[in-house]
Amino acid sequence: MKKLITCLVTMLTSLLLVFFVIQAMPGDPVDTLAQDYMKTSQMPYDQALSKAKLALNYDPDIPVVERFFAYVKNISTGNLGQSMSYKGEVSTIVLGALPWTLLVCSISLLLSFVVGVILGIYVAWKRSNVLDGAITAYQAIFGSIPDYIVAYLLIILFSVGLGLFPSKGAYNSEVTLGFNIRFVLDVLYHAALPILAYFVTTLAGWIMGMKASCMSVLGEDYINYAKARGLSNKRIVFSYLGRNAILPMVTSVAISFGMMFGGSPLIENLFVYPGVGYYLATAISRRDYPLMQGMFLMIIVMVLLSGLIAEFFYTRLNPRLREK
Amino acid sequence: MKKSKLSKILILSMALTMTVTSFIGCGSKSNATKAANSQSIEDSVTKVATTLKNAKLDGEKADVNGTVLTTVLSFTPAPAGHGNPAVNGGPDWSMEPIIYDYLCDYSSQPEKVFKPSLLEKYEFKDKVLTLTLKKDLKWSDGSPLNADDLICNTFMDMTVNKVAYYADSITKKDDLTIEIKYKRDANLLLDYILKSAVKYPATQYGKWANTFKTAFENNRELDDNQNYKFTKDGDKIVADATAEMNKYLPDILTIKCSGAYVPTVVTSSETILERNKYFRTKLPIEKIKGIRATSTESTAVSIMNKDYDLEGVGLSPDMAQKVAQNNKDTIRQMVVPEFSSLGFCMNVNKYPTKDLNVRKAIAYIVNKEQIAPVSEPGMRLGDEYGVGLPPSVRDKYLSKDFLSTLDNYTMNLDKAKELLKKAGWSEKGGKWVDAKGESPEIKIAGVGEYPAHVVMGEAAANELKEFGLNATFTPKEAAAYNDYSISGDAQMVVDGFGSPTNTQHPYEAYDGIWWYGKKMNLEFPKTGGLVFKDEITGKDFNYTQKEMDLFNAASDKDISKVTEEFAKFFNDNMWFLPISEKYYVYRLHNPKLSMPAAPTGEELKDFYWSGTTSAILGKALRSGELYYIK
Repeated sequence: MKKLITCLVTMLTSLLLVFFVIQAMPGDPVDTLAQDYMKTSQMPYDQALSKAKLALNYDPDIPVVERFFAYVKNISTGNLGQSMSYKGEVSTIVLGALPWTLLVCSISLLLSFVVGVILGIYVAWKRSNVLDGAITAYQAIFGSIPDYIVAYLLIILFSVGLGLFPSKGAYNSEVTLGFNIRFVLDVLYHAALPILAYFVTTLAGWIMGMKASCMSVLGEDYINYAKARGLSNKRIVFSYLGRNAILPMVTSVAISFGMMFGGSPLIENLFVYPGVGYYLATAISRRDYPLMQGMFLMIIVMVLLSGLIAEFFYTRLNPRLREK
Repeated sequence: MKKSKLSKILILSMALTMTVTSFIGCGSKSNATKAANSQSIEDSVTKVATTLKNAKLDGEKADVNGTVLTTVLSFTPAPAGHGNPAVNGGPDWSMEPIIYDYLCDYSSQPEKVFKPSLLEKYEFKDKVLTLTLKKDLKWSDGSPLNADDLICNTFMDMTVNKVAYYADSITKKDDLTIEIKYKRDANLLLDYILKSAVKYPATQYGKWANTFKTAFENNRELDDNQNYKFTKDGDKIVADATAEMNKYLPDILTIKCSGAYVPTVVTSSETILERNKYFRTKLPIEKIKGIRATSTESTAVSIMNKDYDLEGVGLSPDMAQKVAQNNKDTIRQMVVPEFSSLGFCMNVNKYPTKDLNVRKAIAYIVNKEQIAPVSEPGMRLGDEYGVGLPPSVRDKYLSKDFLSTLDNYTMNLDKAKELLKKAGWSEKGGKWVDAKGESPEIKIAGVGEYPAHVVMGEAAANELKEFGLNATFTPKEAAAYNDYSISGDAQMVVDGFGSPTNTQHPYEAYDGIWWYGKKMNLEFPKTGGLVFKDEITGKDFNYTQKEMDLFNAASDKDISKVTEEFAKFFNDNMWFLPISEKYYVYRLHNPKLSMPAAPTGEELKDFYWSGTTSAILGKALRSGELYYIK
C-alpha cells in the first residue's frame, strides 16, 4: 500500500513537472504550424496563421494553471485529449504506435538481457584476461557510439552491402495485413535490423553490469563454502552465483523495460518505423502539447509500473526480503 | 603482472587510436575548407559530366503494364494518418499533385501560363471570372465531378484562393459552370484561384462548404482597403465549422480522388498509388510507389539502394557530389527554380544594426558569391541589390538600367570601412570599435536542422569576425528558433524574405513583410496600414498602399513601375541581405525514364520544370510527357 501511494505521488509530481516544462518550452505551436503551412502550402503568413489558429484546438490565453487542472481532470477520466497537429485522439495514436515499439524493444531487451547475463556470468567465472579485454573494448566502442550511428552502420552492411535485410519500414506493402504467417514473417524480417541495432548497443551494458555483480558475489563466503563442499561448478554458477548476482539486474531491466515505451526517435526515424519514438519526436518538433503529454504520461506510468513489478519479482527471487 | 601488461597495451592502443582519429579529423577539416570553394562544389554537383544530357529520352515507349515509378513522397502513416486534405496528417503538398487534379496547370516560366486541366475554359472579363469544367469528369469512385464540387472546393479553400477577401459572389450557372464576381479587376486574382486543386467532393465536404458560404454571404464587411473581411460573427461561424470539419478523419484508402492516381496501400515506409480508372486521360505509368523520407540518412540509404527512379531530396554538397559521381552514367540532374531567397533579416531596432550604415557595411563585408553555392546543392547567387526579390523574378520586372541606379552590395571591404567610419566606428588593433570604444556583439541565429542556415550563419559570422567585428552564430532548434527570431535579441537571423514561391509576383514577395518583418523587429501599427520612413530620402513609404497598387496592377508595365518603388526602398534601407536564390537538384536515376525535355545542369525556365518534385511529376504524368522507354 505504501509503495502504491509513493508511486501515485511520484506520478503526480512527474506529471506536474512534465506539464510545466512542456509549457515553458520555447516555440509557439500556432506559429510553428503556421510556418509549416507557409512552407508546404505556400501560403502567405497571415493566412497561414489564421489557418493554424483554427486548426489547433489550443487557446494560449487560458492561464497555465487552469490548463493543468483541466488536463489532470481529463486524464483522471482516461481522456488524454486530442493531438493538436494530427487531430486524432492522443490515446489512439499512442496505442497505435505502441505495438511497433514494443515489438522491437521487447525482443531486443530480452535478447540483450539474456545474452548479457549469461556472458557476464561466464566472464566473471572464467576470469580470463582476453575475454575481459574483449568485453571492455566492445563496451568502449559500442557504449560510446550513439545507437543510431550503429544502426546506420548495420544498414550499410546488411542492407546496402549484403542485401540481406530491408532498411526501412515495418512490413512490405505487398503483404496482406492481418494475423497470417506471411505478414508475421515479414514483420519479423523488417524488424531484424532495428532489433540488432538495439541489441548491439545495449548488450555490453548488461555484460558489464552482470560481471560486476558476479565479482562481488564471488567473494562471498557461501561461494567459497559451496566450493569447499565440492558442489559442481554448474550448480555453483547457476544456483549460487547467478541467482544472487542477478538481483541488482532485475531493477535495471525493469527500468529499461519502462523506458523502452518511449522508443528511440532517432532509430525509428532511420528505419522509418511507426513507433512511439517517431511520434514523440514529431510532437516535440511541432510543439504538440497534448501528444507530448500523452507520450510522457505513458512513459512515466510504465516506468513506475515496471518498478512495482520489479519489487514484486525481487521479493520472489530474494527470500531474505520475503522474510522481512 | 600479466594482467597489468595487458591493460597497459589496451590503454596505449586506445590512446593511439584516439590520437590518429583526431589527426584524421583535423585533416578532414582542412580538406573541407579547401572544398568550400564555390566553383568546385557547383561543378561537382550539378555539372558532373553525365552521359545522359536531357530529361527527355529518344526511344520507343515501353508497355505501360507492370510499370512502377518510385519516388519520395511525404505522408503520415497510421495511426495518425487519414484522408482529410484540410487537416495535418491527411494528403499534403507532396501527394496532392498526384492524387488530385487542378483547375489549371500553372507556370510563370518562361511566360505566365494557365493550361486548363479540369477546366475546359475560363474567362475573366469585367471583374467576372467564369469557370467551365470539362464534360464527363469523374471522381475515382466513378461519381460525377461537376459544378457543385467546384463550388464546394471554392468555399473550402476560400481564404487560400482569396475569394473570401476579394469576391462579391459565387454562383452556379449550370452543371459545369460557375461564376465568381470580384470587387477588383486584378489579374493576380487568377493566380490564386486557377491553380487550385479539386480535393473536396461536395457529397462529403458540402455541409461545411455551405456553412462557409453562409458566412461568406452574410457575415463579411469592408476593411480600410475596401476588401472584404469576416465580421466577428463570421469568424466564429468559420472557426466552429472548421473545428467540426477537423474531426472528419476518413481512412485515406477510402477517399475520392480527382487526380491521376489513387492511394491503395499505405505502410509506415511506403505508399502505393494506382491509376485512377476514371481519370480523363490514359496514364503512362501503372503504379507510383512513394517512399516516405524521415531523415537525410534514410533518404541516403534509399539512394544507395537505388530505390528511386526520381527524387529531389536536399542532400549535403558532399553527399550530392558522391551521388552524381557514382552514377554519372545513369543519372540526370535538373536544376529547378523555387523562386525563393535565403539570406539575413537585419534587426532594424537593435544596436548596432539599427544603424543603417552598419547594416550596409555588413552587406558589403559578407561574400555572397562564395557562400551561396556551398550552402546547398543547386543554390545560386542571390540578389546583390537587396531589392527583396530573387533574381529570376527581379529581372522580369526590373530593367538593368534601373538596377544600375541602385547600390550594388557585392563584397567591397573598402566601402564597408567607409560606412563604418561614417557611423562613428574606428579600427583599433585589427578590431572595429564604435564611438564608445566598444565592440558590440552581432548575434546571428539560424535553424540548426537546416544545413543551409548553418553554412550561411557560420560563414557570415566568420567573415565579419575576420573583418574585425564581434559576430557570433548560434544554431537553434526549429521551433525554438521561431520564438527567438522574433524576440528581437539577435541582430541578424537567417531567413527567406523575398520569396514569391506561389505566384512569382512581386506582391507575394513584399507581402512577406507581415511575417519576416517580425524577424526584422519592425514596429507594426495596431490599426491602419504600414507606413515606414525611408532612412535615405527621409520620406514616408506607404507600404500598404503600394502593396495594393501592386496587387491591382493590370499589366507587367504597371507591375514594374510599383516594383521599382519597393526595390528602391529595400535597396536604400538594407532590411534584408540576400545570399542565395534557391534552386534544387531534381535527380532522375532511372535511365529508361523519359520526362519533359530539359537540359541537365542548367537553371531551368520551363513550363514543366518549376515547383516541388511532386508538382513536376504530377504535371508530367497528366500531360503524358512521362513514360518509360523500351
